[in-house]
Amino acid sequence: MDALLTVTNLHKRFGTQAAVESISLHVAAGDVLGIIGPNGAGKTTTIKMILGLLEPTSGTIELLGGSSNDASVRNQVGYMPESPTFYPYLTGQEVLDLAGALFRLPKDVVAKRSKELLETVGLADAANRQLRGYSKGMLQRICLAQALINKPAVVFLDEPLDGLDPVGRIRMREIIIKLRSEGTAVVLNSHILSDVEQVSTHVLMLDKGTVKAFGKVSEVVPSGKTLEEVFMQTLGLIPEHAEHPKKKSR
Amino acid sequence: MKLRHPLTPAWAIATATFRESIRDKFILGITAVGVLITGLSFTTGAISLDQGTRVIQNTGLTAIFLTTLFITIFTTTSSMSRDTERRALYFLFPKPVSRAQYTLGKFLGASILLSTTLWLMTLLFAVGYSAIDRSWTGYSSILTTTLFAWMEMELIAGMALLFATFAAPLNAALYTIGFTVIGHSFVVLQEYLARQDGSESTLKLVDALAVVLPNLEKFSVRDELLHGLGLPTIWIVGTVAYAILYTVFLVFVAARMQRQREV
Repeated sequence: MDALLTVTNLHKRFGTQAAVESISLHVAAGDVLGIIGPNGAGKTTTIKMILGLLEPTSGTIELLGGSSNDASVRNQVGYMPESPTFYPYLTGQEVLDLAGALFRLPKDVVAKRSKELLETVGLADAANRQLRGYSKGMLQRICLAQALINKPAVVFLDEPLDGLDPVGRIRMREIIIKLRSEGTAVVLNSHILSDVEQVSTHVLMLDKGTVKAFGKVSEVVPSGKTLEEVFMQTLGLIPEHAEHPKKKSR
Repeated sequence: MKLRHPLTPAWAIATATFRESIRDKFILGITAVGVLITGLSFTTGAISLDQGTRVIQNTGLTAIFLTTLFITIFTTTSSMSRDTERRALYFLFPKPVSRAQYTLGKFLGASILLSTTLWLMTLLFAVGYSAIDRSWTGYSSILTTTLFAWMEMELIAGMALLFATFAAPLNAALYTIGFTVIGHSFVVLQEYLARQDGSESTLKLVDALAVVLPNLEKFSVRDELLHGLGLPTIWIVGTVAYAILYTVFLVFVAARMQRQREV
């Protein structure tokens, strides 16, 4: 299948510090790429470069056949940033109206789409409340809704499961799986490896800005092992053939 | 699907900025204090013998302009940094929104806020003023003074916006206040140098600075109007053109500066 996103040999340096080194990846329609790695691994920096928010030091990024700086490309992209608080005095509905206006979508389309999305993320009852009254989980959900207002072909989710209660996590996983079934490409960053393993078709493991593993989940995670075990072993946190401490105690 | 007008994103950012500001209790508090001080100006008339209406106009309009000035500088300089702190830029810039549209939206948001504050307070003041003076001269003086102050505030908002693109909010506010004070000092400085028999080169330097830096004294027409002096049409046209061109220039430079920033 044709790749919607192709990243080749991407590098980013902040002064003398290398944040990302030689990352290459590709994502096709209906793929869910889970990017995992410890703090400072370069996950968010990679996403920001793909979205054109940071200038790469070197390397190429092709998103939807063009550059992420093109308005025509951005029209088909959604982004849910990490820990959003953006406009505390706007209501959930107003945030979605604003997002729709930024895409220049007609008002009736925004109204219809925002109603659907508020239902999907479970915020229909809180649509007219200001964001400053939202819990962290509600902020995550309204942020997801704004990322989907334009029915994007590729959506980037930065720590989408952070701050959600168990029900919120299940709902978020269901939304990601639904997006996948509709042919939307999803790129997500997360520390919650069990959820990444459940929803992703592909996984990119980063450590200190370098790729430790990239491929289909079935290729990266051998049968009988979990993504968490592979992650811990790859990063040298437990020996290659040792059992995961959690498994042992069971 | 027919997309909305290309300026829709800028207008959407402007209305969001305005809503955010108007719902902020701090701004409402400042406006309430401004209204209170403006109301108190009516008591000054009683203690100023036969100059009552002039004193009321002077103190009332000064209170209105200072309130608007404070709100303009505070909201414009803090609005951009808040967008960074609250990660609103990550919400905006992955969407098809250019830095120029963002800067224009921020300026328009500040502009709507300062216009609302200034004209609402002036309207309240004019209603109160009608109880003591219903002459056309009085209303005309209030209206014209406010119109010129409005142009000045727009220019100051442009200045604050420009400083906010590269400085922290407090520094940007201080720079704006500094340039506002300088902008009102050229005439005084020119008169002082003329009296002191200043050298030709110094006078030329001050004249040149008055052209390059914002000359805000152009917008102070209160004294002329209070003393019944008319404003020449050519001068009015020149001042309006100056305000528009200078403000557009400031917003343009702010947009260019914004383009250089990494999020």
